[in-house]
Amino acid sequence: MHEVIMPKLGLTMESGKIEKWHKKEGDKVAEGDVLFEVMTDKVSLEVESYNSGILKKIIKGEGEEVPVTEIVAYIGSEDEEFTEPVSKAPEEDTGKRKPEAAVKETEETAAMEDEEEIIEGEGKIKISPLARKIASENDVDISMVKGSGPRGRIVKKDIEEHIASEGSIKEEKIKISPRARKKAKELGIDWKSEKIKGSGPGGRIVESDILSYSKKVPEKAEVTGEAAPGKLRISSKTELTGMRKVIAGRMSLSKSTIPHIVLNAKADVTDFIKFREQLKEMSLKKYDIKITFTDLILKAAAMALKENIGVNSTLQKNEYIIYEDINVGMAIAVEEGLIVPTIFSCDKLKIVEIAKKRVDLIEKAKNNKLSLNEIEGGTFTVTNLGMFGVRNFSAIINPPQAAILAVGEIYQEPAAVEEKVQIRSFMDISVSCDHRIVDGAKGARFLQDFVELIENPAMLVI
Amino acid sequence: MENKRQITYLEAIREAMQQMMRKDENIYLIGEDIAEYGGAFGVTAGMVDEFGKERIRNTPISEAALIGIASGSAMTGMRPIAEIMFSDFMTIAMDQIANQAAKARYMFGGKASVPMVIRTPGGGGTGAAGQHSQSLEALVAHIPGLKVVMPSCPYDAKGLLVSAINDDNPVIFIEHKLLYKNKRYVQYVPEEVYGISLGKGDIKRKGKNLTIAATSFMVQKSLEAAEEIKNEKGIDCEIIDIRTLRPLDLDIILTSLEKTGKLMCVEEAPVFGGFMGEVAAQVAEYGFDLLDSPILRVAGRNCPVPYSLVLENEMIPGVERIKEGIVDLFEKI
Amino acid sequence: MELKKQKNRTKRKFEINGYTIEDRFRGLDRETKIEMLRKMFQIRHFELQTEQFIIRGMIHGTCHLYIGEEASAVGTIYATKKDDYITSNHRGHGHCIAKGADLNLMMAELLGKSTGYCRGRGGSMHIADVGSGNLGANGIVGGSMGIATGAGLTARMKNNKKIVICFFGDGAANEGIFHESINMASVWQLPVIYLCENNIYGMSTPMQEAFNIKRISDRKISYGIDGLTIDGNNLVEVYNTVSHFQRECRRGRGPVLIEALTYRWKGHSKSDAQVYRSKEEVSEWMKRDPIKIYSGELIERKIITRKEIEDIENRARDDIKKAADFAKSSPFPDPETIEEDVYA
Repeated sequence: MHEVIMPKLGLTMESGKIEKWHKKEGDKVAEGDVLFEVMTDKVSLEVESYNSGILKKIIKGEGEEVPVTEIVAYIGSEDEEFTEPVSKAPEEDTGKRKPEAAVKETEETAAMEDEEEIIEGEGKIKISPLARKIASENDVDISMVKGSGPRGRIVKKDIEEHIASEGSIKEEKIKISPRARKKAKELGIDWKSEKIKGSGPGGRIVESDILSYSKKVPEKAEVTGEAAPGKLRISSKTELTGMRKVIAGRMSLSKSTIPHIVLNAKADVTDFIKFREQLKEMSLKKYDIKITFTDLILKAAAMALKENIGVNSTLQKNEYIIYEDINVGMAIAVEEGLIVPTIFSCDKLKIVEIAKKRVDLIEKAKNNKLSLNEIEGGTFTVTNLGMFGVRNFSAIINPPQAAILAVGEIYQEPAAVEEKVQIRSFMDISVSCDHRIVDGAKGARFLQDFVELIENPAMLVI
Repeated sequence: MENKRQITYLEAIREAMQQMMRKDENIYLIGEDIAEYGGAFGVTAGMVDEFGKERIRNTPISEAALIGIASGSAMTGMRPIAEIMFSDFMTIAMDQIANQAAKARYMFGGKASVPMVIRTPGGGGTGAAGQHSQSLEALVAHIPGLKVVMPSCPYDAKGLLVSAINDDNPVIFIEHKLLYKNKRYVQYVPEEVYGISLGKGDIKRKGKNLTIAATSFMVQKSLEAAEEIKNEKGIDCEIIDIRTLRPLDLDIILTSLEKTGKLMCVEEAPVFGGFMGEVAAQVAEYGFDLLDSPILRVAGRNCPVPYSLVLENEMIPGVERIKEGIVDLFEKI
Repeated sequence: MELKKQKNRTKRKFEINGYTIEDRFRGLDRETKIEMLRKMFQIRHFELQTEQFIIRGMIHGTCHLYIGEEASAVGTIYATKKDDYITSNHRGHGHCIAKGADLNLMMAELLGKSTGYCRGRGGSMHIADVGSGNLGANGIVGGSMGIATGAGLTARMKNNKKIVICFFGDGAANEGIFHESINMASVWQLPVIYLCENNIYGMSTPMQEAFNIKRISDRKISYGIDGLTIDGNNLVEVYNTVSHFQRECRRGRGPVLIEALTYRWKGHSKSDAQVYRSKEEVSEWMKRDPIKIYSGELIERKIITRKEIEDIENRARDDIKKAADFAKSSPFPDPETIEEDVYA
């Protein structure tokens, strides 16, 4: 049975209307015969048959608008009985495409809900689009606004009232050059409220104004006296904002809602160190890139996850979801706090590819250039405090993930090797798991596999 | 210094071609009236005597085909230097430049290369009016696949042309007619072959109050303006010669801005859609926090280059307009 | 369009437009003769498969099918040497296959895959394989005529004994670069065969609306070069003619303009309703199927049997099927590589 489809007849054609069938069911059709006429946005076109036989079944009749590539009829041989085949059009592009399913899903959700939802941490804030726009124009943190609309939705009025109470609408625009603005920030000068006279054209505050203002401001009165009981002296008081605030929220959410189970292990990394030295030299020569312990740890974690895919998971709304993709987040300390960019499909990357990604992500993190895409989508996190001399620690799970791996510094200790005492190198490792879905044995198997990989590093490149 | 030879911009360009042609027999010149006649501005004068008409190849007046032929021969192993008599005529060959030469490498998945230089004089000031005076660098700099070079002095002209010839990409090398023979801009140019990397700008004058980014002849005009304004107002300008429009050396501009905080861009082309718009945009994007005043462009007026001397002087920025711009930046805008 | 009268096959030489052409085809070995038929089938089935991809929306862009013109590409390219250059045009799949391109890589390119000839950056109109002498298809009408001429200049300056075939259509003959290039090639006596595949329509414009001359080859007079019009659907005639002139060309006798009359069975591109020509005209030309003409010739010359022809076609169909599978299962390019290969 041959399928007759609505052909794509133009670069922009999305569907066509069948104007007229030249054949009816049961008619003989020869290759090249006109089957039907189709009206596209442009013109009326005749569609010829690519096959010979009997027109067995017309699926789409005259006047029907049919999307391109959809089946409109079937042609079969004389003795063939028509049965609706189960398969769709046979020609399919099987090359790897972007994960389209995910896109579709969000579209559907968006269509179902009549209001926009912003997900922040676990709590959803309902807010109307207009209110959201005004809020963002006026730098209003919507998590601080109480909604008075239906189902608690924040509406325009709420934002306006909030602004009025805060007095945060800028009354007059102060002219200041970008450079002066930056300098002011560096020196901690609030140019919006301090009265700084601008000496630039049109009264613009320029860099020199900020500099001379900073010299005029008297040094903060030095704190004198001694600490007294019952009275804590405050060095500084800063409201949590931006990244710090997000971290605070997420960490307390994690610690308060996820029952952590922490498993510890100790790995002999003597061979691991040698192995890394080898790789480092080779890759420096060949790729001009330095392989670090972190790269190898990321790789090992991804490989161990592949073996223990249940750890690569999340608990969401009472559903235990195991991810197929192994996207390992890497915790990076930056000036403002901590950021966890993601290395996607980490298990499929070669070590040098991981290294390249790491260099790129760290660079971006330091320059505040990470895009949202790059910090989302992680299924597991690795954190390393070895460089700070921390020997071992338990990390807090990065929600909604189910586990986090913490590695400490490399240290040396005497150990018995083949009945002789040798100085060997070790590393302490801990994994914190969400006990609701990953229990001790499951986590332990993961940790065991990880340690085995680290102790037999050649496995990492097999 | 005095003992060292001083040569013109034109001589520097010719010397680069001669020396490179002696080294590599795949290099040849192709263009209109470039053999016995020596090219419309005499850049290739005398070269036919040394290299013969095979390698100093006169063509009929067929700009499209001559660029097409240069590209085709470049794709098959030659290293042509094509001369377009006036940069305005690039438009006649635009299909060959923009759709063929610039695209071959990318569209063919990296399997072809077009090592070709298109040398062409641009700019006005000669009373040649609308069709022989334009500065069309933005037109070509916009097209991925092309490199665009505009030297402002003899030393750079030689070094940049050598690098352009050695480059495996189509390079549009835009010379300035008013620099060719002007004795005022002669300079010491080493006799040996040397290259100046494409993609590197150059600080032509050190200063601390204002950064001026300029191209081609406007570098010379800016240098004059800078001296005068220093004496008159004490403003000390740093002058950056962009030299290679694509790839652009943004770092040299940002580094200078860290010091000065102010940027003025000077170019000859009409300001609307000009190349300096790109420079300004990139500075705003990557160096916003360095700016202590708006970016000012001093450029050609938004009209074709007029004929009458009075009008032409009005259209193309001169020393006075550059100085006015500097003063504006400090006092008005 | 009246076509050339039958020639006498018993003769070893025949006359076309006043040129005496030797029947060099006769001297070819059997293998090559069959190979040419196989190439024609490969082109035909490649294009049929492409058409299926088009109507199923799997080709992100347009395609110009070569069906009906197979004899011209195959006859021409087999009459020249392996390392000679060709330049092609927007209807270039046939030239590419005849020049020996890898079918898998071609098909992958059409589907925009990273394994394609151009890593998915070119698509149907820009397939090139510079290493094998194919300087590329071209999306600009007449766009490759300068490039072909330039390759001719390289051949001349390096004295490498290569020649260049510049394929273009009747539409290109009215572009300025046609004139500029052929004139310059003539002035410099460059070894370029300008092969005009006259399929009678420049998109929808018929020849008589675009030319006030009978034959495009008549333009040879303006350039002082040789030129003639041949039956582009007759592989043997194409082969013999090109074979004759490529020798002349290689000997330094300058360029030549050959007009091969042919016809495209399908529309100009995928969005063509073909309102400008009648069904009768199309079916008239389909009777003059270059593959049928050539198979007939081979049978008549007792080189091959009908059964063997069927086998050859089946094998060609398999080759294309494999190419299609390869293309379909190949990955799309990584967007991260988008700015690679802009510069050398």
